[in-house]
Amino acid sequence: MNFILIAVTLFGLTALATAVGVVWRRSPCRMTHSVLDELARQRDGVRHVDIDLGLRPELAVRFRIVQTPTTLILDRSGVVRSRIGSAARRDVVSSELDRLLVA
Amino acid sequence: MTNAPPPRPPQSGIDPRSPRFGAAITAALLLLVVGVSLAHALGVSPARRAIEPGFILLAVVTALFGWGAFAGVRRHPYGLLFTTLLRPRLSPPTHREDPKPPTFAQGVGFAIGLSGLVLHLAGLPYALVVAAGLAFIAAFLNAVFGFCLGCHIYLLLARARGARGAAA
Repeated sequence: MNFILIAVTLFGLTALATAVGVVWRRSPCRMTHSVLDELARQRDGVRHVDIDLGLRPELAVRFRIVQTPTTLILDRSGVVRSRIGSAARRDVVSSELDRLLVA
Repeated sequence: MTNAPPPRPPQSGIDPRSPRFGAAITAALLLLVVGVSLAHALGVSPARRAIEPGFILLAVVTALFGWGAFAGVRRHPYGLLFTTLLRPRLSPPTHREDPKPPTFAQGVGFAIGLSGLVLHLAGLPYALVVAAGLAFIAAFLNAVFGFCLGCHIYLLLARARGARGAAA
C-alpha cells in the first residue's frame, strides 16, 4: 500500500475514534451530568455527585441500578428519596427537588 | 437497603490519570502497528509473518497488555513511569479509583492483540490492522475522552453477576 493511502487510513482511524468520543459526550449520561451539575449549582444545599459505575460496580448492585444513567436523590442521611431512570429532564428533577425540599 | 452513605472509594486506589497516561502511549504504538502493517505485504509462511515489524510491535504491545492484566495495572511499566516521572510534577489526585476495572480492560486489550497475532500467523490478511485498529480506538477514547471501554464491559459483567446472585 502506498504512503498516501496509509496516511489516509491512519487519519481516518483517528477521526473515527474522535467521532465515537464526541458521540459518547452527547450520550444520555453526559447530558444528565450537565443538567444535574447546573441544578446543583443553582440551589443551595444540593450537591451533585456523578458516579461512573464502570469504576464503582459494587454501587450498581447495592442501589439496584439496572440502567444508566440513573438519578438518585438522597437526603442528608443518605436515604434514597427519589429515583429517576434514563436521561434526567431538567423540569422533572427540578420539580422532584421542590417536592422533597418542601416535604 | 441500609441508611449508611455509599462507601468511599478505597484509599489505596490508583490515580485515575495513570491509566489515561498509559493509554496515550498504547494508542500511539497501536497506530504505528496499523501503519507498519499496511506498509508490509503479508509473508508467505508463518515464520516470515512472525518477523514482520507490525507483528513484532503488536506482540510487544500485547505483552504489555498481558503485564497489566495479570500483574495488575499498578505494576505495569507505564504505571510505574507515571508514578516516578509524572506524578511528582502534578497536583495530588482529587479522587482515587478501583484498579479492578482498568486491570480488566488490559485483559480485553490482551485478548484482542492475541487474536490479531494468531490470525496473522494463520495467514489472515489485515488481521494485525483490524486488531490494532480496534485496540487503538479503545485506547484513544480512554486517553483523550477519559472513556474506558473495557471498564464498561467489566461493569456489564458485574451487573450480570449481581443479577445472577440476586436470582440465586
